[in-house]
Amino acid sequence: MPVQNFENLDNNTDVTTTRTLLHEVIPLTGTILSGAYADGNIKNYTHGMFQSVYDYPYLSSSANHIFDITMGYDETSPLSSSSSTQNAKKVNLYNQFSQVLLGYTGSTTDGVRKFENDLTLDGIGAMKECFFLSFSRLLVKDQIKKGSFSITVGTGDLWSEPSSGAPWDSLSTLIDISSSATAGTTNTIGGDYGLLYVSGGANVVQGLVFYQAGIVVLSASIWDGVSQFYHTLGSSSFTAQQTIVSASISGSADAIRHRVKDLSFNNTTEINSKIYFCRVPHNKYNYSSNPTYTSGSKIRVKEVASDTPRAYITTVGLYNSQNELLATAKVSEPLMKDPSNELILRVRLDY
Amino acid sequence: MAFLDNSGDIILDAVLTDVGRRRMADGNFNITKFALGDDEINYSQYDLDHPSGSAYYDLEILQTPVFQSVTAQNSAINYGLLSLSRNNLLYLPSILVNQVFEPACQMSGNLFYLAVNGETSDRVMASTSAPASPLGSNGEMLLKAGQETNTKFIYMESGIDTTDEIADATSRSNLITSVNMLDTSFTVSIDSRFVSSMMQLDGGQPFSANENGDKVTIPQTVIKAGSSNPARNLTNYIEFSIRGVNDLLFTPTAGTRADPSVLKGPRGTGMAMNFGVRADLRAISSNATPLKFTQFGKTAQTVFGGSDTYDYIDTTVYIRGNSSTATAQIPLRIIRFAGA
Repeated sequence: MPVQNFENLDNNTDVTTTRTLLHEVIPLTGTILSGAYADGNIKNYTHGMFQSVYDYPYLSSSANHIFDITMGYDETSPLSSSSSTQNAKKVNLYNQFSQVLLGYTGSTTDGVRKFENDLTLDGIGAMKECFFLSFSRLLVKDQIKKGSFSITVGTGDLWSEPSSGAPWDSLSTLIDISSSATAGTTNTIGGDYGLLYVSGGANVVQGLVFYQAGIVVLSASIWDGVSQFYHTLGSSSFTAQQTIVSASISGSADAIRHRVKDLSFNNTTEINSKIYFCRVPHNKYNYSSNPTYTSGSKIRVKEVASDTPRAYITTVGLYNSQNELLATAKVSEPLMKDPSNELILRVRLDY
Repeated sequence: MAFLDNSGDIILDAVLTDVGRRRMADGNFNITKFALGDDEINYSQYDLDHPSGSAYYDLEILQTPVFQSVTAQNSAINYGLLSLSRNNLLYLPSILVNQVFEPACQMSGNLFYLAVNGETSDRVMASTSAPASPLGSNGEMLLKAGQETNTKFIYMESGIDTTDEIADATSRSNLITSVNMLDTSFTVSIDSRFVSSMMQLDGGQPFSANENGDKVTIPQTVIKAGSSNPARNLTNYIEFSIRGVNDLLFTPTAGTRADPSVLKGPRGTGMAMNFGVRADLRAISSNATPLKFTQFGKTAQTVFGGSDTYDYIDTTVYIRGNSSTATAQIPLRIIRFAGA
């Protein structure tokens, strides 16, 4: 049987809205990307355009998709050639990321913008060969917190299993140190982006992070000079440039995974809340229609009529004008209500 | 549905209900009021005789663990807290079934029986199969579905059930009428898969018996109740508004009559009702067994012993006094003669 005793809520005095940003730390160690599950958590596709990384072997229902890896280059890159492996796909992927995140220049000959190592998008400092890490919304939530992103990659000269330490003999940490909620980013059609500086370097930018899109762009130039960036069974080693030209996209993704030592950022969840102040005045809600409230017809919580009535609140129901129950809230322990007290129950609904 | 952690500060656990999410999808989510509930509380744990004194009367109640919020309508607030203007009330009305009135249907065991068709009622009343006439040779324990005459009715009374107050006009005024607890209507909720209509008193006559007279008048003229509305908190249920008439049965102070009321104290209103079942349940025994008996009940059962078999569905009727908010539940068995 539905309740009958309602108390009206005044929109001006009893209802308010708030906005809260929640942040979670997302740490990813390199062993998740390479080693821990013997690549059972790495999913390749027949189309060969990207590679997905899971936090557990992906055939398990417990696995969560955490990010995708792919790479590409601009058609004006010196590495772009019809003889390059998957050349069209690499060009298309670069352009896809670029057109979604940066947009177009307006030029008919060079329509899609290029990623640059600054915040000005003036065509200077273009990063024409890039690796892309696209993080799952499960991790990013609403956006990556500005100033919180960090990735450490191995720039060691030799290829071997990461556990042996060889790729990590030399490390380079990229962080968005100049970005904050109020400065250090540029707003584009793909959202805000910040620069990934090489830690300890003299203002050297080797990547970008797009905060709302949850995409990290790494310049291939980080690995300039590395002689064994990639190594396949039964064949020789490749430098980063050779890998970009000759290896498949999934092969390049393998090389990147092999090099990541750790990665972390804070995600952001924006919570918009509506708070209802349910004011329970002293002269209301002091009796109950609970069937156990009476014995026969006598109220159990009274000995004589002059005793004060009382009831115990466990539930708050929020209703619309048609008396439909739209939301319900429970208190963690019963609250005693009698004519000598007034209560304000603060019910928060998050959206 | 787990309990809430009650080891620390008092917290509120809030969720949108299924209807709330639907209204949000419709763009019609607009909260305008609130109500309070106490469904978990068992007030019989309030111990007025606690040896440690009044500070301990509600100790057990305050330790009641509270469930987490659920999203279903019927799991939220079934019994709300009441806002009554007077603080000196010692009694609240109760709703009781009256099986004493001459036209009142009596329970058989713990159930009211509702015959879906004439074949069933005739068979039950005139059955020679042992035991003969299991629901009474005059159908004393039988409701005939959809009938306004020649049937018994379920009678209910709303009033104060205590021997502390005498059932006279003064007490009725003081304890019921003046505190706006007179149930001039009742909301009856019933499963719409089985019941399609209801009968109620026509309202022309009260229950009456003077303190100093022997005449007792129990109205038994019924008419079809108005249309139903979907119940808000019970799936498949519909609600009827059933008329309550004045219950002026006063405790006799002279004469020899017995008191026909089941309420020990002052009476407020009374009501009578019968039910009309859905057409698909009314098939006589030569026809196929209606599917609903198979889906929701039992078929070909020797309910009363002997060789006669019956199909039946058990359901519950919920009654609430619209002023007092007192509630009652009635178990109802919808029965059909299946064969000999």
